[in-house]
Parts: sequence; C-alpha cells; structure tokens
Amino acid sequence: MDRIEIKTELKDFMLIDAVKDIDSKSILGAKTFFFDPVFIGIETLAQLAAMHVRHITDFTKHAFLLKVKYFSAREAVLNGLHELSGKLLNHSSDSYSYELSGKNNNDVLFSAKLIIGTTSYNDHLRQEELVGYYKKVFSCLQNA
Amino acid sequence: MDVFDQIRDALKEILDIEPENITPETYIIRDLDAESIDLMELSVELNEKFGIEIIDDRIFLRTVRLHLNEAEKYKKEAADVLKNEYPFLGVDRIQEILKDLDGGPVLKMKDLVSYIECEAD
Repeated sequence: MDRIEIKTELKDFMLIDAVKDIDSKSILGAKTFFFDPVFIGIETLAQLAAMHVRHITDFTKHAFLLKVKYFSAREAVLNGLHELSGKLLNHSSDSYSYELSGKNNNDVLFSAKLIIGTTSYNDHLRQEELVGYYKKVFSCLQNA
Repeated sequence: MDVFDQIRDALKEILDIEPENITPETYIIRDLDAESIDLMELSVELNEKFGIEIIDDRIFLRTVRLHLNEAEKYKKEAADVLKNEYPFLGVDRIQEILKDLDGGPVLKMKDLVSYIECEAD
C-alpha cells in the first residue's frame, strides 16, 4: 500500500501553547504565532474549544470541529503572542457551540463561532490511545 | 413564533432548503436528506432556541432499533419499551413507528415538536 506523508511543519499539529484558565463554561489559552496564515487561527480556536469539551466531558468522548458558523480576522497573517479565549454558549448531549477570539495586546484580531461535535470512541478512534494522549497534552498545556 | 416554525427555520438554515413544503409529517432524514452532522448542528440550535436539555439519541430517535432488539431479546412488548424510552411520543405515534420501520429512519418533524414541548413543560 502506498503511504502518503502530509508535512504540516507543525509538531504534532498542536497549536495551543498553554491553557491559562478553565472552568465549566470557558477556557483561556495562549499562542505565539510566527507569521502564520490566518486559517491557522481557525484551527487554533477549534483546538481550544475541543480541549474544553474534552475537559468538561472528562475525556469520555472524542471531540472534533463540526462547523465554522463564522470566522473573521483583521489581518491575513498572524504574528506574536495572542491570548485565546473561548466561551461555551450552548450545548446538547453531543454538540457544543462556542464563541472564541484571539487577542494581541487586548486587541481582538480574530474571532469565531464554532460548533464542536463529539462521538464515542471506536475501532478507528481508539480510546486506550486517545484518552491518555489528550490527558497528557492537557496537563502539559496547563503547566506550560 | 411557535415551536414548529422555529424548528423549521433552523432546518432551513442548516440544510439550505426552502421551508414551504415542511409539514409535521415530513421525514427529517428520508425527505429532507438530513445527515448525522446536520442533526448534531440542529441539536445545539434547539438548545439555544428553547433553553432545554437536548439528548441527541432521544430527540432524533436514534436508538429505536436497539430498543426493539432488546424488547425481542427479553420478550417485552415493543410498544411498552418505546413508550418508556421516548415518553414524549404518544401511543398512536408509537404504533405508527412500529408499522413504518421497513421504510428507513422514522424521525418526523412532529417528533421534534413533541420532544421540545414535552421538555419545556
């Protein structure tokens, strides 16, 4: 079987540098961009929201970006340290709606409304591998 | 705006369809071609619109066949099992569902309305 390698140049494709604060309704994080294209901002906010969903569901479900309801950005390129924030707006048993933003020096440079879906672990999304991985990542981000 | 109209508006936006032909008897999956990801988006929209707890498996009748298999396994009345799992459905609707299983997913617009109205009470 042919193997396809996708080189993102991003280590493990983890785009959040730190989780600064988290409770049942919100999450604060940080990310330093290095002249990254703005679409990386969408993925960063999606990762922040998905991390919050995993936290509030005690890592019992796999979380994924279901839909970008809107995204806006003031610049085409992101650079420098950004404070990331996410607020849980609404949810059902399987889906979670978030309002998120990235700020630089208290200036909102990009914002989004995203829906994060969840699904049970299965043969492809293996619980024994993913739960440990995400718990470890979450712990590292909280201590960063 | 009543419950039916609000659900219809949400479906219009999510599925990008014209809402005129949606009636209480419209099948959400069979007629409107809604997929599982559309229903996941709908559930969070319904939580926003009505402020009630939405349990996806229940409101979308996802596990009807699972419950029927269990009823058969433990020799229980199918209608009783469904009434217990889906208390928002009336007796007539449950009988309708039991006769309609061969046609595919049974979820209708009126089932969503029933769930919302029951949870809101």
